[in-house]
Amino acid sequence: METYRRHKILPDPEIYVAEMRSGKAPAPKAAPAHQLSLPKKPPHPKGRLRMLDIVTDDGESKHDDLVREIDRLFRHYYTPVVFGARYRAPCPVWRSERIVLRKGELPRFATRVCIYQDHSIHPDGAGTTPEGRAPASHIDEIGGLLGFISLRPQDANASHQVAVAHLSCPSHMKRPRYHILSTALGPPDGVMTFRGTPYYQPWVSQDAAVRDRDAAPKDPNVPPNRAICLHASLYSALLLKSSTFHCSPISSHDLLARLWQEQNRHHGAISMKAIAVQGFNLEQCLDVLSSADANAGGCLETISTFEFFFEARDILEQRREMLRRAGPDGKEAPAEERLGLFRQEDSSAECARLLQDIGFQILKELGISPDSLQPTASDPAISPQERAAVLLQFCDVAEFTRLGANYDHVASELPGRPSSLELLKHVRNRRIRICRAYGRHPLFASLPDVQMLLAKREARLCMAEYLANGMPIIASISDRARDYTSQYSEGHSALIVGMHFQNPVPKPTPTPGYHAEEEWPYEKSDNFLPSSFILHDITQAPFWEVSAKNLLTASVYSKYEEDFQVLDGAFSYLAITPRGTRIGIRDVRRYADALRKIHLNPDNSGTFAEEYRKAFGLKETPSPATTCMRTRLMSTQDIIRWYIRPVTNQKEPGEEDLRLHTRGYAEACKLITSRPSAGSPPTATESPQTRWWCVECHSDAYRSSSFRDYATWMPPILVYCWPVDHDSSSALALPGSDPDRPGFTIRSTGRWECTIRRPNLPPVIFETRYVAPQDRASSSLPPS
Amino acid sequence: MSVRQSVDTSGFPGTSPPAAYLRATQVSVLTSWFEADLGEEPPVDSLPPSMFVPLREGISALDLYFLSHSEMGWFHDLCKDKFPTDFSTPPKCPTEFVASLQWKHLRYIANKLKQLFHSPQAEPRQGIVTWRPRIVALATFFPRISSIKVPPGTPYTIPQKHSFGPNQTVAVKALRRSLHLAYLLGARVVEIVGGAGVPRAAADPARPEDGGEDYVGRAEDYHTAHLRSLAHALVEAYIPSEIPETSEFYDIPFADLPPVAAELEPGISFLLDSLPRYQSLMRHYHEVCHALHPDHAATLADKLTLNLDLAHAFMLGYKVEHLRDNGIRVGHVHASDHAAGAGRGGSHASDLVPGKFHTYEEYHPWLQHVVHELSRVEVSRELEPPIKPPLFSGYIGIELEACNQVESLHSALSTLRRWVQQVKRETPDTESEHPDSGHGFADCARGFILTVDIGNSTTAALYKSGLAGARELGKVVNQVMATVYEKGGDIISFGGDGFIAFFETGNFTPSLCQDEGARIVTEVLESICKSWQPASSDLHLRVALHFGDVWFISQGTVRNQALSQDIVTSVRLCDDIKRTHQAKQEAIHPPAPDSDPPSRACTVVAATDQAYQQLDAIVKKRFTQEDSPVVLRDGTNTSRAIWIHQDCTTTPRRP
Repeated sequence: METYRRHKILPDPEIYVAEMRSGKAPAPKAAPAHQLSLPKKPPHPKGRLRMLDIVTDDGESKHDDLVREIDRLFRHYYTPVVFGARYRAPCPVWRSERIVLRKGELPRFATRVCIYQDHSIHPDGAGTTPEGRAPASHIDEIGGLLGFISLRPQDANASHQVAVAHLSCPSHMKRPRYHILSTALGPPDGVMTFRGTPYYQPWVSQDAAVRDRDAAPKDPNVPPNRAICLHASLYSALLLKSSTFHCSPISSHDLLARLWQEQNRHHGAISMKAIAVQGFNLEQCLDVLSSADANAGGCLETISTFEFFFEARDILEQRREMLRRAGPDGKEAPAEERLGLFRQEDSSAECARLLQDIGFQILKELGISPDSLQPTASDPAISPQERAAVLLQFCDVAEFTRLGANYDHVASELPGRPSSLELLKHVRNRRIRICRAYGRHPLFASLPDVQMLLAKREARLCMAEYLANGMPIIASISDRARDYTSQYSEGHSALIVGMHFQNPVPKPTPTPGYHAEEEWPYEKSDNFLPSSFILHDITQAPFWEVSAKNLLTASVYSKYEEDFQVLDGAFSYLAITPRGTRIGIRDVRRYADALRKIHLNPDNSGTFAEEYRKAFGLKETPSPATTCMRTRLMSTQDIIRWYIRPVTNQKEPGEEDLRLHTRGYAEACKLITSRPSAGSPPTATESPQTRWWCVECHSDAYRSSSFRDYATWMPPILVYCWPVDHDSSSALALPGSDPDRPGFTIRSTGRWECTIRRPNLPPVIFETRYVAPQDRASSSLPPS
Repeated sequence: MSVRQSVDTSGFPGTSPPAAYLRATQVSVLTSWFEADLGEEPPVDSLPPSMFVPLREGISALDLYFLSHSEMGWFHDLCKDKFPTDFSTPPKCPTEFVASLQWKHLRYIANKLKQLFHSPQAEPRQGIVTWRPRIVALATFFPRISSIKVPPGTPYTIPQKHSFGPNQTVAVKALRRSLHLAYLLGARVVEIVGGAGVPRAAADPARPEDGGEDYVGRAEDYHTAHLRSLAHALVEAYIPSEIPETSEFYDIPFADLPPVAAELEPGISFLLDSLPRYQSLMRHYHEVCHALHPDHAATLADKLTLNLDLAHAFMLGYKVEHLRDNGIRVGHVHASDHAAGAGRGGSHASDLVPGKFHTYEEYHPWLQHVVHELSRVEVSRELEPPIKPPLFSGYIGIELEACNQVESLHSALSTLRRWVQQVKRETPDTESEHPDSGHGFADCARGFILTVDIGNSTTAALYKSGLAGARELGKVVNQVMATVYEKGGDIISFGGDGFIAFFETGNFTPSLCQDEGARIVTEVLESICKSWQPASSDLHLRVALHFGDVWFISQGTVRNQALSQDIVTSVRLCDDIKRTHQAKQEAIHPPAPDSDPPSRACTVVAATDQAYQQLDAIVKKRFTQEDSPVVLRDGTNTSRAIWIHQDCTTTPRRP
């Protein structure tokens, strides 16, 4: 931090005061920055919050709330922290809050506190560094910079004293399997640069209960700001992308003010109080993003299960066919699979019979007599279905027993030494999960289940694509993310700033049992789906890691029946994109998928795919089933640099100039930089800053490890490029144009040759030397 | 600093007085650069670090951020020392504190600040030729000023729902006190920031006086009402409608109070958040002026100016042309940088050193506007007085809020000074319209100018006596200069055996008294004459004394300094005045209506003629005795004024 450097180089201005008092200059302080104005104190009893006296001048009893707040901020860091320099500094959030609050008696500036890792406290004991030696000096106690926070004045009557926290991500999230969006923090605030992710906590009056449904508001006259989570997510996202997308952050108070002005303009007089109470939704959020105040853009995408009806039906049909067929050994499929089949076909009698068979089999294994399940005198008329349900319960019990056999492992996984009550609770929750898993197990899946699975997969794919392109996502989730068993469904929002890829999960085994619901029916793409997302949630903490399954389950807004059967569901999320964006990844992926099925259909373009196979020595011809798609956000210059990469011999620098004479280079550049009008040749020129969604279709061999060395040089088979301001409604107005027609298409027709096509223009063939962007840094010349 | 002077140019053929001048643009520092919890207030006999540190670093022009939260206690202690009964409880809110100050408190604060500014600790005199530190602007922030309670009987109405109780009246009172303090300190402008442009989302139960503000109405109505309310507050600050509680405040005519410079603050929540809003405020202000005080409307119109913050202009996206086209007058300029711009995004976070985010090319049109247009001083025979100083304060304030870094201050200062010099060297685009704009840059100040020259020093002291003579010469010069410093003068040019000292009226309290200033300078003269006891009888002292508007050139060549050419020029001009004054007096004073167009130097002479009369009487009264050691034997007491400008490039020959 620059503040640290400043204190080391120059005497603190307070020295001047001391000098004036005493008449002579005091001896320069040799202590490091974090001890400039404070005596060293023994470690805080809580261990992780040492030297908090820097923040709290008046004793700690009054500042328990602040202690808890900072503790919460660093909950997911798993490291003790120490406070560095503290000084007054401007804070744009507090600037706007103070002017609206009209509290002139409060200080104009916020208090900025730098926070470092504390190396003086080791988890095992006290007073040693992680290496086991005692710190040689105070500076050894200071670890890496974790960021700085801006504190509101203590008299501000706010429930959050921390206004904005500029935090670098936890160290365990710096591993390659994590992908965390970050930005260069510091220069706008006048301090030295570091990479991190901002986290914003809006001003909330202590009298207003916001997002805390258990606590009643102290004063009913003070309205709660119901959409404060969305305000925080929006501000954090804009702060995160302000330097990249050139957008301006809007704090919560500014957001309310803008909504008030907009509502006034369009819907007449309304009070600010009503604005605060009525809340804020993603559509309004998109309007604010697109406005000149924010100068950003957004894509609000909704993925409904209805869209996957036909795909799910095809999958189930295939499954049925498979189940109806006898196996190669002449035996029929196992009872569990047939149960799934019959359940899909709603044949209750068959289901009941099969369930009985399964139940009896399990009971036999467990040594339980089926007679104990006979109808009792009080309820003699038990139906076969009910009997089956009872047996199925026993099936769950058996499964539970099987898990419970590893009880010792369960106990060791639990934090601490749990009491028996906690253990029972844990076991109960686990049992509930098992039951649910049975309800949605692929073997027992019904059509809505498969639709939901496909929708979730698509949502995960799109969200992963947005994050991979550096665009944060505001997810509309419910409280069920926090409390799975709750049916409370008040809207909630959080900002997704990262994702986590874990090891590929194993393919499902044919034996019945508990499996992750996402494992089927898309085993192929699982390796590329994030297993969890990293959230900024004001009800939790920054960098909160949530499994994708839990997050998506909580994000579904739908109606549930008593048995958790989803009638219909949809996911909504808002991605923050550059200004002017009208089309999102979901749409371009859908368009590209449809085009891919046409272009790679062996009946239509067998020669084209076959040429590609021959050029790159693939074993099989690429087809829609054996290709995958990746989406990239690129500028026109990026496209020229990456896809229309000219053939050069970089070993001889003198030949660098010859690249412009590469066959087709100039024509291809001209083709994509021209802006065609409706049905006529291009007239104007595209700005180099125009951005495009580029959907690449890669062969599956690209991902195969055996082809890895070679596939580095394998260009995508097809690249569909849509301008981000592509408007499907206006495209419809053009004569002879399709809404899903891309701006241009690049086809790889040979080893170093591509064809670029643009509507209404003749195609251009050009030479290229494509290198996958992720491999470019480490790559050298390809094998000739 | 190089000073050249000329007098009535009728005696010097070949020089033509200019019709307009460009006042030199200088750079000041806003004291909000330092903000910290000191734990304990600094003692009242020394300045707070925000002022002390820049002065110690040689930065002599400050924009005082009056009553920042960290310095409110210091001002309170300062007054408590003198008036213990009036300041018993420590203040909580700056607005209420400054509103509670009385005239005697303000006067005491002003005197104490001047005294501390000129104390040896704060003013280390890093060079011989330096200006005394000064406060050029007073920065304030009274957030509730935009909503005052309009008294009944006003010719216009503000809906009752926009009136929010007594706290806004306090803010107006605080602004009035700030204007008077600025007047006492000699500051040229008082900065304000517009209040809140949106209602609060929720009323604060702890502050019932703010009312349960739940405004239901159109946003434009709200803005209009608050802008009108702000306009009313500004007029009220200059000419209060209520019965004055103390009469001292009204001894000073409101026309002498400095203007208010309103700053545009980017942000949806701020009232003055765009240039159209400021234009709307101007319209409301003029309407209120004409409605309430039609007789003083013209004078009041000059009291509202724009505080042009360049970083905010980048964020809001308006251009120089918008100011020109809409007739917006600029009173003060702030220069800093934000990592944000219109269409480029970014956050309104900390102030950065200019040039960190925006380049010189982006600052250039603004600096050109400031240096070549805002600083333009017209000299007209129709006006009375003939030179009307521009509304622009002449200073570009560096605003680095709470950066707490001295090196950032120096970085910003050097950057901005370099840029200003670069712009000064350029020829403005409007050269054809202003043929005389090449006359250079000068700054005007009113006061007494004292030219001291030790004659025959080279021959008598150096050539004959060698090292001993040099020591003696140094001793004599040191004695004379110490007297000047002691009496509150500035050495604006130094030549080894002579200097030019300037006694600015603003440095004396009360600053408006010519008689008192003349008395002080006369004391200096007496003191010099008494202390003039050179060992060598060959040395003789020549002294010239003048009063009036003096123009200083802010840049000069090292050669001129080394040869003390300006001092030699000054003394020779004084000699020449003595010979030519009698013959030319009729031609220059008063100018005949049908004569040749009067020279601009001539108008200056006329403007300072009254002062000359007073000074002449004093000098004659004191130095006419035969036995007095008056060394004014060159007769420079007959001169009337000194007109210093760059145009006098040729040193008049000694006849």
